[in-house]
Amino acid sequence: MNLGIGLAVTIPRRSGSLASQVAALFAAGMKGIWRESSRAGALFVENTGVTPVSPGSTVGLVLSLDQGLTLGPELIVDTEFDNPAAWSIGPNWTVTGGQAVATAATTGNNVQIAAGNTTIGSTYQTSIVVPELSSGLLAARVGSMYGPTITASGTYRAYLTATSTINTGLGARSAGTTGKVDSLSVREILGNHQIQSTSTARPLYQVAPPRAVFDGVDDVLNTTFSAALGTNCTVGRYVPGTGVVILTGQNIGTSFADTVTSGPLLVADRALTAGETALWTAYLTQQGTLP
Amino acid sequence: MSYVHRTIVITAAKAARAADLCAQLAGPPGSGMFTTALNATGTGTATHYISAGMIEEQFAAVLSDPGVMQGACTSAGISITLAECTALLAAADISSEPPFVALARMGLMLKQETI
Repeated sequence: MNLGIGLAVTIPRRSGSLASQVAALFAAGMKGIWRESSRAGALFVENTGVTPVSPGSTVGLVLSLDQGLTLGPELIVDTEFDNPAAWSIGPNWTVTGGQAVATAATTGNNVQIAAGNTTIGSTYQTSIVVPELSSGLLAARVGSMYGPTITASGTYRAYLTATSTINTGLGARSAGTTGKVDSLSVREILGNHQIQSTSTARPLYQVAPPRAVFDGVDDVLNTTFSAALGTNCTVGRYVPGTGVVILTGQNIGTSFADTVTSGPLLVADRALTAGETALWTAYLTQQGTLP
Repeated sequence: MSYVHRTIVITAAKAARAADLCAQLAGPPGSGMFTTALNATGTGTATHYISAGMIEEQFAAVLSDPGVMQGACTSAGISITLAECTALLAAADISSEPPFVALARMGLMLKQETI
């Protein structure tokens, strides 16, 4: 059912209060997706979350705010490389002196935590400090997925979605890799995020208002849930040129494919009360009409 | 990293090989291409497949010339002849047009999926 709610909404003067009220719904147990298209640091060009979006760029990762961008526990027992016994150390790597050291390592030479502890489909924030990389390429690795290649010394953050429960750590990504790593952190970033790894299938980011623009051919942002959301879900969007659109009674399984050009997006695993519908409408309008 | 827009339409006969090559050459960003089916009527058997969107500039260069494609494949450890690269690009319509402009020009439409 399309309620087709229009724009005749009184926006409360305290703009932050609407987001706080939406956050309270999720905090109270509502499950779903919360995309705030204007939120700095939540939308990225690539699915690995390295480059923030800009007008005309693709959108490969949207960090959903449904769980407040909370980070889960640290998965790396020995983040500072002080304990070699904590690592499964591949060829041409050593763990010594508080560093992981690669000497002429090649692709497939990895330093990984011994036990598997990632969840397939979950997204993890990786932080890696590389004080020295004299040759070759490095990358963090989470649940068998390598992150963006690192080509020079520095501190790097990325968001990687696990494709297995094992193979977490870091590794060489080319022959002749020689360098040192000071620290590695891997923590789940909680939430039902929207992801697209295929470059051509990513929507574009546009502003005035901030929105994801899908081409109607092959663009889609995918979300995977740990369990089906059910048959009475609610999906709310602000569609430029139309206004707030709230769909009720939606059947959403363990995945949600977003293909509709819109600014903010809210998905809930249940029906809304009248008050909640008014809140969503006000919030979506506020976010969907930003300059 | 620079991106450019490309609309790539390829014949159904070559789509699987093209998708495989894109995945091998571009890695995850090139995986999962050519899954949207096309034909002249919107129903029936797919005659073409499409991928449209932003790709890396260097990948666009690979798609612009059979020799460049073969060189990139060779560098990536993929065995392919120049003749096959030539045939693949001949079977593809690659443009910077918006997808529906390209489809109109080619007389193709999205194949409707059965719900």
